Amino acid sequence: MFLALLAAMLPSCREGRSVGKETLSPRIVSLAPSLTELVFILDMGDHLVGVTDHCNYPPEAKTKPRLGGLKTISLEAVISRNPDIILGTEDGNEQSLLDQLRNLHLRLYTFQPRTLEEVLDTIRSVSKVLGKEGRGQELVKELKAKQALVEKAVAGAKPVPAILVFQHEPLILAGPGTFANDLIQKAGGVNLAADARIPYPRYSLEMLIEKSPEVIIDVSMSEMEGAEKLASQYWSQWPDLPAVKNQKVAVLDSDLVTRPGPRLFLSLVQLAKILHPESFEAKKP
Amino acid sequence: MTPLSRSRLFSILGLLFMLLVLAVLLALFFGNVQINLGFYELADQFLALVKSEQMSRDGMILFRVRLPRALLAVLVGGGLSLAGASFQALIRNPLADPYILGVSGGSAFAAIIGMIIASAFSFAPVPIFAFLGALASIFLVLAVARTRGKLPVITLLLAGVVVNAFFGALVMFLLSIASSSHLPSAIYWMMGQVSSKNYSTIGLVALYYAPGIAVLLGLARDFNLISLGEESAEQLGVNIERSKLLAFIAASLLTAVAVSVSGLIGFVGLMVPHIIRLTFGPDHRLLLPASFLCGGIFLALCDLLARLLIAPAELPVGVITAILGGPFFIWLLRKSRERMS
Repeated sequence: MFLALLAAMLPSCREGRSVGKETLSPRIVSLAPSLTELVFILDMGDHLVGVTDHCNYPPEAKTKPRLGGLKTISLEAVISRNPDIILGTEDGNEQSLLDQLRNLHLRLYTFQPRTLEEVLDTIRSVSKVLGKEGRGQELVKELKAKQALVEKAVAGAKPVPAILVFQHEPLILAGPGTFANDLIQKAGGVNLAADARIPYPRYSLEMLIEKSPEVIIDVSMSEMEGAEKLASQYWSQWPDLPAVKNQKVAVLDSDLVTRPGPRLFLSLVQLAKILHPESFEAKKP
Repeated sequence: MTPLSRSRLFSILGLLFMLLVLAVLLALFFGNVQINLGFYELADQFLALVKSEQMSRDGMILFRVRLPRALLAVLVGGGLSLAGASFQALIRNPLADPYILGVSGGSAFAAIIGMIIASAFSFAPVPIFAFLGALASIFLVLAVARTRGKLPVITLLLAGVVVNAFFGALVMFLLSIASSSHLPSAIYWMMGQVSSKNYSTIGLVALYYAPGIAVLLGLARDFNLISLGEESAEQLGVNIERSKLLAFIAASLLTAVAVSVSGLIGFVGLMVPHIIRLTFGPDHRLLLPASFLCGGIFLALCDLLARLLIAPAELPVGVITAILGGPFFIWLLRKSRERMS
């Protein structure tokens, strides 16, 4: 589906402004934090001439010219950067902005990975667009190895009932169709909020208590100082939850589980270690 | 106006209070999780709550998840309705409520500032911020609307609309620049919700409410005179500007506390006083306390719906009140137009 989308897009790109076969020093604009991370990890960070306000990783990304928030990118700002290549996302960016960029015959490539596998596809495609296929292959191999490591570690282990918390007040959990849901399952867990029909449900507190999660992954305070302390303070309200009783409340940065970039695979390893510490201790004494 | 006998007043209020208790019981025993507790276990769990001892899972769901939420819904619904009834009397317009007058907007703006400054776990200062915001906005409205020492209804409404729009813009500005860890919670908070707060927060809300409720109920007689017309009220010796000022401050306090604990829940302050007026007549000695009780019943039941409709997910209760309130507002508007023509 993703490839079909890309294929449908390519012809319009070809018709676009000719920038020569492969520009040696392309001016790249990224319209999403995950794509910014990817450009940097493909060693093309120096060529980035525009990013969003949310692009905070790696730290160098913060020094790049900003074009606005994910949904509030200014068309004028994008054009003023005189880009050769624009990388965007179908779900993350405003459709009207993408249409305008296409109408101007700018070289826009959009991506919309929805699973871990599709993230690998995105990495391959972006590395091709940037002329960094070798580095892309290397990275994909590296990430696949991480995934295989986790799969091996949690194979046969009993899935652990868990939830991932985006916010306390109101209580918002990771529901079906999110990367967090995918990560929990792949890391050997069962997402207890998968029964909600929406991706980011305000979840019923009484249902949460009833379902007794054994692990709570709290990403609600990723940017705050003393997040660990605040989280344990919050969860101590419900001392009888198994996760709280057994001190299995883990605090993570929400960027790590929401951005469809290479760091998702690091989160996968981290989550597997939280859900199944025994599998990892056995391997590395 | 038919005279209000003491026995009629107390029998109606007594009935409404019983209905309120019934609504809370409904909210307590209906939910997504089936609770199977006998009477003795129930009493046992309640005692455990009072002594803050270890509770069973069912006890926790009943007394720490559902009960505080139902009580909060009662307080918020009651406060907004009482404030709405008061504002309607003060500006003698049936379409007035805390939102139209700009009080909610000012509270919301100041409460967000309070939330950003205070940590996420300390609620106590937030209503104070909200109250200051409510006062600032109501005095701004009064100052803008005051013409030759009086407060004409039209300019008051217009000033309210302008001030509300202004604070609404400031809220959006704040939301746009606030760090993202505050941002989503502020957005949900703007949609209006009640949640399971701890009992100390609920006690705090009741404490902040007390002076506001006392002042408004104490002014019920003055409200009756004001609704006869400002001139006749003055002829009857009511210091109308002073009563109005006191009432504005008290109603602002109720609005501010309700907003800071639950966000922007609309239409409660508009609908409930109207239904009371249609059912029991316009005497404020009955209208004001009955509005508080019925507002509590109404919001407790709306919140029950909000919990059940898309379970296990929940809706913000403001969505339910707005779905009910929108058509009600249109009906009211048409009715008042028919009466005029």
